[in-house]
Amino acid sequence: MSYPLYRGLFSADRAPAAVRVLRSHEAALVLCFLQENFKAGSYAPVRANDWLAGQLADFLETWDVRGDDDAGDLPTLGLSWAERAARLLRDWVRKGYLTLYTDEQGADQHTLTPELESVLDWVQSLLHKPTFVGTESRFLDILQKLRELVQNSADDWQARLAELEKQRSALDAQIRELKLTKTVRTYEDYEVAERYQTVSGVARGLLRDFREVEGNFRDITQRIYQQQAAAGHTKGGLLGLALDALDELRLTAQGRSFEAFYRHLNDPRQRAELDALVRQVFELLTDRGLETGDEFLRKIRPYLLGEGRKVNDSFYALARKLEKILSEKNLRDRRKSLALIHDIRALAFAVMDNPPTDPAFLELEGRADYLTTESTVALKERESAIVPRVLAVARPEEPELAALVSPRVVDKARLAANISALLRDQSQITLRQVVAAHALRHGVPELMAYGSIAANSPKHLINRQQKDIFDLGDGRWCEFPEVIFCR
Amino acid sequence: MPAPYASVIIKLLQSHALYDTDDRAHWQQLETHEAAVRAHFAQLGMVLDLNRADGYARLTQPEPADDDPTPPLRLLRRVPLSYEQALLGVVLREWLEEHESSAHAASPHLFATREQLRERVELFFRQQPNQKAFLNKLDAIIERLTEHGFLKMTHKGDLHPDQTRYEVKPLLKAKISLEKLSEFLEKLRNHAESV
Repeated sequence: MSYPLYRGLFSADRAPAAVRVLRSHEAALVLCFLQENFKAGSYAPVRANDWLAGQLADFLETWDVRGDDDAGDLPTLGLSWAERAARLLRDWVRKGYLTLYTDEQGADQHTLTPELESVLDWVQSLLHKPTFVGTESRFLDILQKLRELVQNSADDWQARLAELEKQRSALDAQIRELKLTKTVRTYEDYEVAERYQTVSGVARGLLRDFREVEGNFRDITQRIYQQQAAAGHTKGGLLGLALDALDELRLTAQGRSFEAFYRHLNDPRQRAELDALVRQVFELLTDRGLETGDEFLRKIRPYLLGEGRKVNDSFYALARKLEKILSEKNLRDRRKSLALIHDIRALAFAVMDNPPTDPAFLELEGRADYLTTESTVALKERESAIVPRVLAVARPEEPELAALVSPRVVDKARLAANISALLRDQSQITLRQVVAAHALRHGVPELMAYGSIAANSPKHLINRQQKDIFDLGDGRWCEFPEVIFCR
Repeated sequence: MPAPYASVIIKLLQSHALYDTDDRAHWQQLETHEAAVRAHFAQLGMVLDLNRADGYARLTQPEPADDDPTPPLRLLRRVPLSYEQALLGVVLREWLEEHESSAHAASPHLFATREQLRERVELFFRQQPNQKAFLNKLDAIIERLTEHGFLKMTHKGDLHPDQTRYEVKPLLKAKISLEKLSEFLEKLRNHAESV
C-alpha cells in the first residue's frame, strides 16, 4: 500500500528517519549525544565505532539513562554500560540515524546520515536564536546572484559589452571619488557580523550536503546496477552499459558540479586565497573586538578538503565497481564460478563424514621460492625441526652407536637429487617411496638428512601424526615421521 | 646502476602480490615501468599478471612448452592445500563474488572477523565433541590461508581473538581460478564416489 507523502508520517516504519527520531522516546538521548559528539566544539564528520561506543557508555552512565521498558525498548536489564552503548549504536544504524562503514584499514566508522544532519541543524537553529537577523547582506547576495545569472547566460555580445562598459564607468567614478576624498567607507560592525554569520552558515551547509551528495551517487550507482540486472540485455547492450556507467555518473548535474568544486578546491592558487582570506577575516574580527563564538570557519579548508576527498574517493570507488560488475567477461566468469561453487557446496555436505585427508588436495601456484626477511618464513623453519626422539630408538648399549656420529658424510646434494629425480614423474612423493627407490646407505643420519631437507623447504610436508618404519639393516628398525616431498 | 624499477621486481619476487592500496609507491613505479618489468620477467619465462580493476599485480609461471630443450627451473613454488584449506578458499571466493556484486557495499575491500570466517566454513565440517580442538583446527586453517597471502590481518584483537579482523584479498580470485574450482570439484567428485 502506498501512502501519499505526508500520510506516510502516520506510519511508524515509513516515516523518514528525520521524523522518526523526533517521535521516538529516545529523541532527547539521540539528539543530545550526537550533537555533542559530532557537531559541538570541534566539528568531526567521522567517528570511529570504538571511540563512539566508549563515549556513549560514559554518557549513559553519567546521566544514568536506562532503557524505557514500557516503551517496548530492547531488554537492557543486566547489561553493562558498554554493552548497552554498543547495542544502541547498532540500533541507531538500523534506524538510519548513523551510517556504518569500514574504512581502508578495516576499522568501523560512523558518520551522521543526511537526515540526522538536517534534524540536528534544525534543532540547533531553534535553540540558538541568532542575536540579530541580518537581512541586508542576504538581499544583496540575492541581487548579486541574479545579476551573475543573467549576465553569464546571455549570449548577446553587444549586451555583454554594454554591461562591461557600465561596470567600467562605475569603477572609474569610484576611483575618482577616492582620489578626491581620500577616505574609504568600510563596513560597519553590524555589517561585518552579518556577513560572517552568512558565510559560516553556508559553509556548514556545504559540509552537511556532502553527505547528501555521496548518498546520491550511491543511489545513481544502484539504479544503473539494477537496470542491468533486471533485463536480459544483448551482449552489445551490456557492453554499452558498462562503458556508459562511468560517464553517466560523472555527467549528472551533481557529478559535474562536484567535479568543478573539487577542481577549485585543489587549485593551489585558490587554496592559498581561501587561507589568506580566512586569516584576514579573523584578524579583522579580533581588531574590531567582535565575538563570533564560532571558530568553525577557521578550519574550513581542512574540513572541506577532507570531506571533499571522501566524496571524491567514494565516487571513484563506485564508478570503478560499476565498471567491474558490468564488464561482460566478469559477468560470465561470476556465473560460471558460482555454479561451480554451488556444486562444490553440495558435494562438501555429502562427504562431511568422510572428508578427503590428502594433505595436498589442491595445488596452487605460490610465491617465488626466495628467502625473504619476513618473520613468518623464519618461524616456520624453526617449527618444523626434526624430532630428536629418533635417536632414542637405538639401544644405548649397542656399539653401533658410533655410526650415528661416524665421520662418513651424508651427501645432501645426492639425496636432493634422488628426490627431484622421482618428482619429475610425480607431483609428490613420500620418503618411503624415495627410500624404496634409492636404498639407505648411511642409516639414521641419512634419514635425518632427508628430514632436514623436508624441514628446510615449506613446500615439503612432515606429518608427525603418521609414523613410518624404516629398515636400517642388521635387524634394526627406525620409526620416523611421514615425510611428503612436493614439487 | 640498477634499473629504476629494480625495487618493483624485488617486491614482486618477495611477496604474494603487490597491491595498489597497500603499497602505493611501488605500485606507481610499476605503472610507470610496466613494459620494462614485463620484459624482465619474460626473460625468466614468467608472466606479470597486472589486474588494475582489482588493484593487484603478481607473477605467474606458465608450464614450459614440451619441446623446450632447456626448460627453466621452477621459481614459483607450488602450495599444497589440504581439503579443508582449499574449501575455505572456495567459500571465501564465493564471499568475494557476493561482496563485489552488491551495490551497497561501501568499501571495495572485503573485511571479516575470524568469527565470521569460521561461521562461513564450519557448517561444512562435522562438529566434534571436542569443541575447543575443532575451533583450533579452524583457526589453523585461517592461519594457513593468511600465510599464502589470501587473507591479511588488518586488526589484531588482543583481548578478543575472535574479533581479529582480516581483509580477504582479491588475489584469492586469481589463485582459486575457474580452472582450480573445476579441478577441486572433479577431485571431490572422485572422492565422493570412492567412499
